[in-house]
Amino acid sequence: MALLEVDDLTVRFRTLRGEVHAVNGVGLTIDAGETVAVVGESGSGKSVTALAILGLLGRAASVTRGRVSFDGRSLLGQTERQLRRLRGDAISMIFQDPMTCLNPVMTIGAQVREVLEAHTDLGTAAAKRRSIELLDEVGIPDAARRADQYPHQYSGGMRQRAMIAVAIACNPRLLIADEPTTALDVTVQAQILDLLRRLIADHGMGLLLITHDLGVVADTCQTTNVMYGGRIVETATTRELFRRPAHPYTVALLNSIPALGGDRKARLAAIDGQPPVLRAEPVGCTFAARCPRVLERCLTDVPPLDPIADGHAVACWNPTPHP
Amino acid sequence: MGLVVLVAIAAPLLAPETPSGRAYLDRLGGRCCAGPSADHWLGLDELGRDVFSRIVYGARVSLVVAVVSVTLALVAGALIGAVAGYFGGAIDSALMRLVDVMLAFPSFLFAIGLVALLGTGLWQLMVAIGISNVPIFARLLRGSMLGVRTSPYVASARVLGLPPRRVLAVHMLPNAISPLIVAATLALATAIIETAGLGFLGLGSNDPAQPEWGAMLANTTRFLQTAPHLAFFPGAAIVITVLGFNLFGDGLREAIDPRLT
Repeated sequence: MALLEVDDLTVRFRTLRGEVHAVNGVGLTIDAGETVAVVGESGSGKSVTALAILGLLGRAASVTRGRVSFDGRSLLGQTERQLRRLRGDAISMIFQDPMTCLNPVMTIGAQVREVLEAHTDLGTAAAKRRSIELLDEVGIPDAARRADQYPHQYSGGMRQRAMIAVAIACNPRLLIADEPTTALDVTVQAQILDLLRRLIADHGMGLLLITHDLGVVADTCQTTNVMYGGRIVETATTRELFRRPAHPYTVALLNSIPALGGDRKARLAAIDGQPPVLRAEPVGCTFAARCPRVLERCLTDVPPLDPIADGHAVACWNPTPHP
Repeated sequence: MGLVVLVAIAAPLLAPETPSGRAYLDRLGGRCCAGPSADHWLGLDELGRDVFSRIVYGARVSLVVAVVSVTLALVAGALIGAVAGYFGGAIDSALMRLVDVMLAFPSFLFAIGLVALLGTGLWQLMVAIGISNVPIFARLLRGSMLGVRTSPYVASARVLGLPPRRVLAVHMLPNAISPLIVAATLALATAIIETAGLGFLGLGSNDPAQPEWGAMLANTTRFLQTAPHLAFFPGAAIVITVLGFNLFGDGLREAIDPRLT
């Protein structure tokens, strides 16, 4: 049984200008110890998917269809109290911006202890010892001393490490990482990804990595889902996806990465047009307006996510052929 | 400001005489009123009492009333603001409309109304000034709570499954409270003016053992032509104290608010 199973997840936001269809029929599975990526641009629905899994959508949004089950247990019907017990304990999450995700008026150690105290019955002294162990585990030097410091005394990379320590404090079985390296320097990015990989291996956690950075995906994840306009448009093992991208959007994304040693005068390949605002029930493929391979049918019928090879599925009427 | 606080604390040591003298009428020698002299630095009032002593003791009344009433306003206002800012929605609207109604009256008028309701006396005075200052704090904390509520560390506290009470008390309040601390020092100044104002109108304490700057001013209006110094010194005491608190508030804001540096 998969650790996390999301099936046909559909999320709507009520706004003053009508409903926004943020997520439309998204499905994905994560096994224990597996790393799964969700890739997409801003507004493609990837963060909303993560929040829906945790039941943290807020008042304006609601899940209108679909199933989310964690460890065989459905999450959507749970009460707030039951979900709260799960969050930070069995399922945990780290955010994009380590600068603002830590409470500025609490010491780092206290923030790690707080999670331990909320979810375990460790005493104060034991929680303190454990919090220092955790900070040490995520690679914060001199953890015992730095535990008593405040977030502003940490560098960006150190704060992200501290965030990770908070998130893994209760040994979660599933970790959701929403753009964990976006706000960091490239060298620090690599260190944080290394750390995440090591933690996944050591603890056998499942990792749902949300990102827009295909470079991060390439060396971290086994499976990659490409999201566009609130739908998963392509899913494949990462190796397969990079080798034989089928959806024109995936192809365009991969083409937009500048090659090392490429022609410096060449213009960066971009995707024309704007991502759609998902105000109405979508008619046809959401990418149709920007797609170089658009057919008449793309404007009227929504393409289903159909398998084209083992573990490789694409939602496109006219996928890019590969020999 | 520090000086005023010190004076208030050390009043019994500083003041040459108790403020409620009775048998001093003979000192006047039938004339009102003696100006400043070596014996009585700020002169004698119409009943022959030492003005300096009364001002020194008056600092106590003003400060106690100001501190107690502002504390009251701060606690009640913060409670309303925190609840409104945390829950939002209908609770927020209901509380804020209530606050709007209170804000519709000028706070001094509101305080007068409350004194009329509660009667005169030191406690009534503090409650009246306190309640009339509640809306300022409620508004302020609600605003900064709304700002903090959407901040990533609050989102992350929720994601980590912390109970709502803890999110509110540990993650939101401490981050939202600093504008209130500055507003409180500024409100102290306002409270002193209101205390003096109510005292001037005879709505403060009528106990002669608790000299009050506003009441002292009111008493002197009858002697303004013959003994203007009687009006000058209590007035100066009010001005200096209020100015001190305002400067302190501004300084505190500059120290706390990183955007102003």
